[in-house]
Amino acid sequence: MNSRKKISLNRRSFMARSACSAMGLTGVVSTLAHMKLMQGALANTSSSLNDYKALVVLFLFGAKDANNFLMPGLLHPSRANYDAHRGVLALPTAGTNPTHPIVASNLAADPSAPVGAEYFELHPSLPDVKNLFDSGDLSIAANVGTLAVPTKASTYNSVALPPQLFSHSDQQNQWQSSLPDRPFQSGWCGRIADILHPQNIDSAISMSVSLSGINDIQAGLTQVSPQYSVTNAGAVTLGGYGNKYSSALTNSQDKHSYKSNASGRRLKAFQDIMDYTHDHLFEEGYNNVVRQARENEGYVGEALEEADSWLHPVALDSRGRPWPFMTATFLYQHGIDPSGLNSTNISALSALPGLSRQLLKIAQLIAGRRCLENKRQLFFCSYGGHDTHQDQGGYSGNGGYVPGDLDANMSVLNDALKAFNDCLHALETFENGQNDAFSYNDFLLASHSDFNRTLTPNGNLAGPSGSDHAWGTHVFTMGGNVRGGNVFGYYPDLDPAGVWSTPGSSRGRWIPTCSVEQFTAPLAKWLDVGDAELAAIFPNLDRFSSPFGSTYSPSGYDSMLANPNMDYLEGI
Amino acid sequence: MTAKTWKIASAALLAGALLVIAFLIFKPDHSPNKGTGIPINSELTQPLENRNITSSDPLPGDKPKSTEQLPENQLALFPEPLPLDFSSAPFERQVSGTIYKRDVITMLQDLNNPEQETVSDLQLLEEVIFAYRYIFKQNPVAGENREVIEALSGKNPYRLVFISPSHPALNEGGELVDRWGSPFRFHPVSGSQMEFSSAGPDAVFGTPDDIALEQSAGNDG
Repeated sequence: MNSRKKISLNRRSFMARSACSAMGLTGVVSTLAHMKLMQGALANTSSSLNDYKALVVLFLFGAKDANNFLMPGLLHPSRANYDAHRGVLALPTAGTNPTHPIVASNLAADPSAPVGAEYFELHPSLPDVKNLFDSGDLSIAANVGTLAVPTKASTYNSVALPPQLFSHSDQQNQWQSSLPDRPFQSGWCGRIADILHPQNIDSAISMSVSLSGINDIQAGLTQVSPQYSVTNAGAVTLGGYGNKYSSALTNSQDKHSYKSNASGRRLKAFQDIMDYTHDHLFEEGYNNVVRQARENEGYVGEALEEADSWLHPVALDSRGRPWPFMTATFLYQHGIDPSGLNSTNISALSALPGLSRQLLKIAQLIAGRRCLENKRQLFFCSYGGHDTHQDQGGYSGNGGYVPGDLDANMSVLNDALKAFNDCLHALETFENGQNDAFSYNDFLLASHSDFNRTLTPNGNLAGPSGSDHAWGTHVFTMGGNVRGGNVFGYYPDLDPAGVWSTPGSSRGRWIPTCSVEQFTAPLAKWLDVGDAELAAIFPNLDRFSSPFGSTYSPSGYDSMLANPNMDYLEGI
Repeated sequence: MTAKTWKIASAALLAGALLVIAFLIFKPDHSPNKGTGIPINSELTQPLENRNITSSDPLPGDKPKSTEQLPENQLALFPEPLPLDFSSAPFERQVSGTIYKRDVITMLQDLNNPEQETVSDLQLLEEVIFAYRYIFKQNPVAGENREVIEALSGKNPYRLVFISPSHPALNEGGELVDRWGSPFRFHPVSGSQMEFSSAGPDAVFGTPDDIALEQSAGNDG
């Protein structure tokens, strides 16, 4: 016989229970809200995600100097202002410094473009990026930046601006959320994963993989696709058991093949403890995290081994065995002959810059994608050190060039992009004829950066001088569906006192003509996010003109804001 | 009422509450202002940042000029400044409408004092920015020395003046300069973190005699 005890509630227990109740309701409301998002996604996304697509976001932290990343060519109408205001940072179109003229095909073909508007130059340390542009693999989007609403010089003092313009962490955060006017909750890639990951039916690990640690851009509103961090050396493993558990396991792919030594017994004991179930929720939760990490480690390890089974036809290591193709490709690009080097020693790769090691790992995970069973993958990588307030590199009074940090940074970027792109082209050839073969059209890479830097230098000595914080910047995209060889958006007139510049400053800070979401929404659509979901992922997008199908219309700032000229992807 | 009846009634009540919540979330959205349901010019819309404030501009607290462009901006990030009583020290209201924060103005008189080291100047600037952030909940929105000084000179929501307009370290361009005449460098790392540096005796940044002070991340409670 059940009998209900009468429970007297004192004030303290009433408060405690009320709080618990409120938390419970909050959870219900939150869950239902997320269900609504997912419900909308499942109802509206028509694609069955049978094909494979990978999006790579490369964040250039510190604010790369876009004014010297993409410069006006000799005939470009902005060239005179560049020469007049760039000071010691100005790179000449001819002379002792090699030049890299590129011609934007879309502007060359557009009769509304001003005379010479198609002629640009890339930084001299980007010769391979120039080739990628020329070959149609890469395009550039000019003057993109964080915006709360469409903004121009005449409204700069009356409309809402992104909070804390010119501050690094705020602008990095806003680029990643694409929602500058809201407290940070999630990144735009995380919101894509919220919607798409449930359609990765057989997924082994999260579709959001970061090569650069925990980040904002992959933070979702739900936990359906939490960020999974992979290091330059692969998945994070348990320490103390040698490379790929070689000290403890006889077979790295069989996590129960323990060696009969101290390491093997220790790993077995640890594995046994992990296999226990616990009554206590926290203990069980902790164990689940460790178990899941071991599972993920296995999947990632398998994917990387799959990638490494593709061998280079020429490069042989110190034991006479062929190098993995992708690793050798990156080493060659960096001027390192892998022949004779020890391919099993991870330190052989330490000569590669961090960005190359990140992109190498991403290329390997794409090659080993069948082990991860994700039809959509979002990769994040980054490259810092672009905050060139000083030592940027420039011309001294006697005409000699003093190399600086920007030269080194662009060189690293050049090699990393080239090697990564080479690997993916080669992967298409290598897998030709296989089931679910990789196509070069299956990946896209898009760059981000905090903001641009000021056009005018902060000094008049070539060595120590640099540039300061500005706003609208030039970013690039690379991949098969990119309408390469073009410059999209609008290139500023480079007049620090003109209509492109923030009023009250004489430093040359361009007001963006394209918002972050106008640049990134096409990437989401390429991943087959439905039109209805775009509004959920980019809630501010409808404040701006649609980037889809937008054309080049340079006749005044209003015209440019109405036509962002961001139709840079095919097939969306 | 029996225990069974209580159980049934409680379950019914809970189910009803869940249904109401579900209805509120899933109900069709018929509002013309689709998205947030927040009406245009709602009180929830925060004031836009006050820029280029002149004596004819509305006083802080007045409605912003142009909220209609942010119909969904109910979570605007411009924090409410600290409520203050300007009728007593350290505040002094001026005829122009600006308000002097006298304690900071006095403190800044020590800037570039030859009897102290340069690093103390940078620490002084750090204290000034802290005083600003304490009131406005964020650092001045500025990419340049001149913009920082404008914010400290009254271009802020309260028109508070933290630095005397006649301070000897202000140059003709409205920049604050160090003891060797070079503008200090203000480096905005985040809305609550700013780094300060002086070019040093050679007046050139990027050389070994530069003097820098990296401010710890703001956590002002």
